[in-house]
Amino acid sequence: MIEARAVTFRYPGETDPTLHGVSVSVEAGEVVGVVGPNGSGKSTLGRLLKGLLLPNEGSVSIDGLDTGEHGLEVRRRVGLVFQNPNSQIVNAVVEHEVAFGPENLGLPQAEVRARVDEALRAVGLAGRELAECHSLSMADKQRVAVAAVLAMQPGHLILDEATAWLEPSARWHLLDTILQWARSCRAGLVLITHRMDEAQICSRLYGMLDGKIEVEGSPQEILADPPTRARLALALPESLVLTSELRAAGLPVPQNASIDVVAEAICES
Amino acid sequence: MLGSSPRFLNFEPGDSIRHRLDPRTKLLAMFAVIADALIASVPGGIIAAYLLGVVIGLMALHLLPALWRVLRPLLVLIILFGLIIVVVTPGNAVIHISFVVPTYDGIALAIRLTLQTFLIIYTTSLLTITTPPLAVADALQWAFGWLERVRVPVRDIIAMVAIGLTFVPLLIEETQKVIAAQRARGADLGMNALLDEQAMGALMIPLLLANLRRGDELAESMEARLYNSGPRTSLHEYRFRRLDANAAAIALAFTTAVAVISFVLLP
Amino acid sequence: MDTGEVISVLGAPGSGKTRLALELAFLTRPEVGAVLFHGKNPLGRKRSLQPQQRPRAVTMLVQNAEDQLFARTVFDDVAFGPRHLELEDAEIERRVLKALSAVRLDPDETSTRSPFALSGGERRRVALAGVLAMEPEVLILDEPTSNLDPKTREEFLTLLEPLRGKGAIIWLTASAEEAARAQRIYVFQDARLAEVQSGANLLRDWRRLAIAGIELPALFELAAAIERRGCPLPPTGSAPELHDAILDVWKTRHHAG
Repeated sequence: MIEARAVTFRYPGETDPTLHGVSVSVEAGEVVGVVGPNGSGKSTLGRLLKGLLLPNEGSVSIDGLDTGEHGLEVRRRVGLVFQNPNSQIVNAVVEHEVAFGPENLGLPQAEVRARVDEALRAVGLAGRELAECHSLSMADKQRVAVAAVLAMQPGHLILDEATAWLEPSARWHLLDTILQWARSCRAGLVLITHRMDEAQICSRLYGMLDGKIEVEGSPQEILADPPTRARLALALPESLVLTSELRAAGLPVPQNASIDVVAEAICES
Repeated sequence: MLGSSPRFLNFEPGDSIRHRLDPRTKLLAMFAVIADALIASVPGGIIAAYLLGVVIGLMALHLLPALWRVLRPLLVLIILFGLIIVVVTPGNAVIHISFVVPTYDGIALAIRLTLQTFLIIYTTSLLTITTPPLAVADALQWAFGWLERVRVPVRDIIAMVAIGLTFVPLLIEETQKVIAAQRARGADLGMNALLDEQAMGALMIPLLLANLRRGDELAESMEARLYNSGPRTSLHEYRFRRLDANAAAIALAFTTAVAVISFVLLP
Repeated sequence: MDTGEVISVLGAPGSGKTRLALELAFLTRPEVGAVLFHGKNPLGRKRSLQPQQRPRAVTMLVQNAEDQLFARTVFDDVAFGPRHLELEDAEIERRVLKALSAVRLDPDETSTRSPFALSGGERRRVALAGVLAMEPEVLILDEPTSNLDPKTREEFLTLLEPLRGKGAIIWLTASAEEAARAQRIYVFQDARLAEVQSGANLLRDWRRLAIAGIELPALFELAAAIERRGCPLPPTGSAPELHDAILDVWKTRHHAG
């Protein structure tokens, strides 16, 4: 369980706080979204939840452990994937990169090997262990970055606009993979995004604006209201309207189903 | 990106003999060649040193043509510097061409330095293109780890070297992008631009800034995965095998030959 | 292409658009064939590329152009391009200020600021101003809105609208929606370019575009996902038709099953 209580955070040297009295919570197995325009503080919140930054006021705790007092343990339990794979990958060979985390944990060699293989399988890169990272496509590189985080076996995963640099087809492929992983180990997932279609699949959304939580609720509530959508810089894709109509005609999908889920439901007869 | 040919320093996965050697052996062989290059006399010793270089090259045969393509421009540069040395070194003049005075000593020195430099660069490249940066780092750690006891931050320096090597391909790609962007605005970024402060600024500043920022993000990514929070283990175990013993023996044999030739036979 | 035209080149990421852009900008030499400017090949037959040969009237805004900024002030960065055109200082100043206004950055307020004090979106606008200030005959835009969040993307697109008619624009993109705004569209697939007549017709061919890996509006993505699963859709084209077609498919299957 991830919990932030009344967090205020100011970057050193800045006069204005980046985050003001922010409170969020994520239970095991939940998929929670954080949306808002650029500069609303979404990424900063992500780093605070991971324990890379400490709040000036308020507190952040993971499974009851405060990020200030139990920094290392928190970092082990929460994984964070950033936008640009080129700023995350430090090794030249895929399996070296995925092994980096477990090696840092001081795990025995056999365990490291097992985790590397499992993580690569989870992201669909089994067999590419010895590939050179920088010759991979952006999508595959991001997969390596995700695998590197999954190899730490975190109980919670934060994706900070992790699909931003991927082309559309690769985007959903990666997200579905991550959702599957999260479901299989009941991990809490935080999706920081500015994309409407990603926001749709969350069970709960936090809308941020200027460092504060502006709205909180289900995607249906938040995304249905045009002024709110505009403030949060989210655009309405046509498929959302279509999903409502399909549901009205009996399609058994949740309102915030992804494109693949809707297609699957339609064709399955 | 474009290009599947090995770029300078970039690791290429493969299965040559070199690829199969323990990185520590390769590192030692590299040190041997460097030492040989430096102590060798001209011409005897240096020929022996080059022979060792050739043998090492044979162990990564399929990479040689591409490696040559990459090293060729460097060779041109080295020769250019050699020519400068020829005219700059004081000594007995060969001929006077206005104010340009090549000397015999200059020629001798230039030949020596040119041959040494090229051999060293060639061998170093062979190491980095057949060895993943992590393995190079591990080999360096094995060779210089003891310096930690005298407070030298060996592990951190080696990590920097390894990460640097990892990012060479990306840096090359980014440099090409910035060059294209500035040339699209009319900048001339060829050889004559080296002295033009603004042109160089247009190239270096964006690269420096982007990479300083990237350095921060990489550090964050590493810390996020608990780097430096305790003792590390390794996915790989290195073992010396017969192949390594043979390679080491070859390097040793040649080094001895170089030393003998240089100091005893033809000093 | 002719003066004043806006054409777009639509291709999936990795299809080689950037390489094409570089060749069109005379920054690199095509391996086969040639690019002509006003009927002549400025690169000549020599193997190397002399910078002087590049026609100054052709400029390009590279991908993620905000990374190319380097000068001490916004003014100096935007002036970098015009300075290479051998213009008088007064003319350079005029162009810089005009370009900054064109990208909706207040010249008085931003000229003296450091480019690095601006946000990513603002920096990309400075980069755009930098090429606009050269008042080129041909402007090549390599995925000008890539990696921008939806709001900034919209803002940027409205900036680009007024550029029509002022010289030719070649707009490379991976988004069918953006490509449709041009007068003529070329689709890049399997290393070949095929011309499509107009924006409206572009999305009729959504199946082919989907196969090529091009980014389609969500409705078409859904249609592609449905067909991928073996559920054929009638040969419609426009968004409303497709919308209704998908609804119909579901209703028939639902009632039949």
